[in-house]
Amino acid sequence: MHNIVVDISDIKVSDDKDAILVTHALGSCIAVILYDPVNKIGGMIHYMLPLSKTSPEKAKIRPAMFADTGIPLLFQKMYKYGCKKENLIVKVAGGGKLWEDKGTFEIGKRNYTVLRKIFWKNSVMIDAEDVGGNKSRTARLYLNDGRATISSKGEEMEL
Amino acid sequence: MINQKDILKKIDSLPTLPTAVVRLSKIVNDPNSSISDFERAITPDVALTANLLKICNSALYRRAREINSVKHAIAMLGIKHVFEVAMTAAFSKVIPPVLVGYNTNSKRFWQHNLAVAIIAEEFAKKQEIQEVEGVFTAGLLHDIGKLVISTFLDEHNMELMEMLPKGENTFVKMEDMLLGTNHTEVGELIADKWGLPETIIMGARWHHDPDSCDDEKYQVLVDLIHLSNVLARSLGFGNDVGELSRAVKKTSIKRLGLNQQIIEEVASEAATKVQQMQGFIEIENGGN
Repeated sequence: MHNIVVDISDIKVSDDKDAILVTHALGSCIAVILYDPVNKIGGMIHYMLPLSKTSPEKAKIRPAMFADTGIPLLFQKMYKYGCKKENLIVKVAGGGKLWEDKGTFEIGKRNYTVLRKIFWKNSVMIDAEDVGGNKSRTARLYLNDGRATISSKGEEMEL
Repeated sequence: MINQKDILKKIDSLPTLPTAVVRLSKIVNDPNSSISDFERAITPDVALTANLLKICNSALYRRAREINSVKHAIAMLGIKHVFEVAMTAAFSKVIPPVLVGYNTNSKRFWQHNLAVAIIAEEFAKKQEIQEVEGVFTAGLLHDIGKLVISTFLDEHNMELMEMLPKGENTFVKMEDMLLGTNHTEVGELIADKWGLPETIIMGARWHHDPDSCDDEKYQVLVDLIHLSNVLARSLGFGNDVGELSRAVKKTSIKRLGLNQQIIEEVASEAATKVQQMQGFIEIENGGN
């Protein structure tokens, strides 16, 4: 098995069954993890901010920086690999918050709210999620069997 | 609890910044100094000069012509910028491969420091804060105390692992509880011992407790470093064992006049720069 790293503001989709899609240090950022068990294809985005209107210029160059431009792109990339929406397993991780953070710095919460809106509009159901808390997470997706794991505070759990 | 003597001993054992860069920081902050003073201070340090020119010629600055001397670099980038590059080059050489007590390595530690420096500059630019000098370098060196605290913290690893999941305290408070001091107090000692300018000393000392900054002259700088530090943590630039157990001070947000939109615009602007810049500066012994 080898790692394919998904950076901050990055999307990776792969059909390599020996690969693990991995993203590190999800603070207030969110990873959407998609897996097609029929074709054993996986995809992951690590987006940083909720809305592309924050910087339309940046969104053009790096659409994966924002939820509203990045999430649809991730789904489109999966479809290009031949995946069907109804087969996709959808998992979500991240959206953490800083200490006593109740307002201006709540990027994690806004990232999650926008994601829910996009999913609601497009009738996408979340199969599993690990969001919020003072946590920083590492998310992994094993492409051979679709297992997704989250590591945080020295512990690993299956999502 | 650790005693002052052990800390001072550990500070003495750290590799120090080259004397040239310490001299440069004094020259940059001295209104009576000239470009040739700056040039004379840096050129005798061949390694630092080579490193500086390497960064200046990297794709980061995308100059049409090659920069082949310190004088040329100053003409092209300006003295302030050249000093920042020199400090970046110098600091990247004193970071150990692993900061064991923080469960982080040189690459991630470096990424965090660089992110704080870049975000702080972006906040200053966005809020049109012109009177504050030395924001970038104060951001870059805000966590120097960790170079010393790391070893002591590792001795309390078991207790730390019990405290962390409870989420009852911020990470800097946990350092206080376990060691009787923290990386901000020790950071001040190191910055002072290395002869670094007051901006770096204040940033290192008060970046977790900006309300206690005892010199009004540095309040804006301290607020900038504090908020850039928490934003860098939130965005995941240079994660360590403390994860998101860091407090945001509303007073700093208020003093700088920030709102959600400004914070997100700065995040989007700075993130690309951090990712570009870290690729151009080698961290020896680093790697994940």
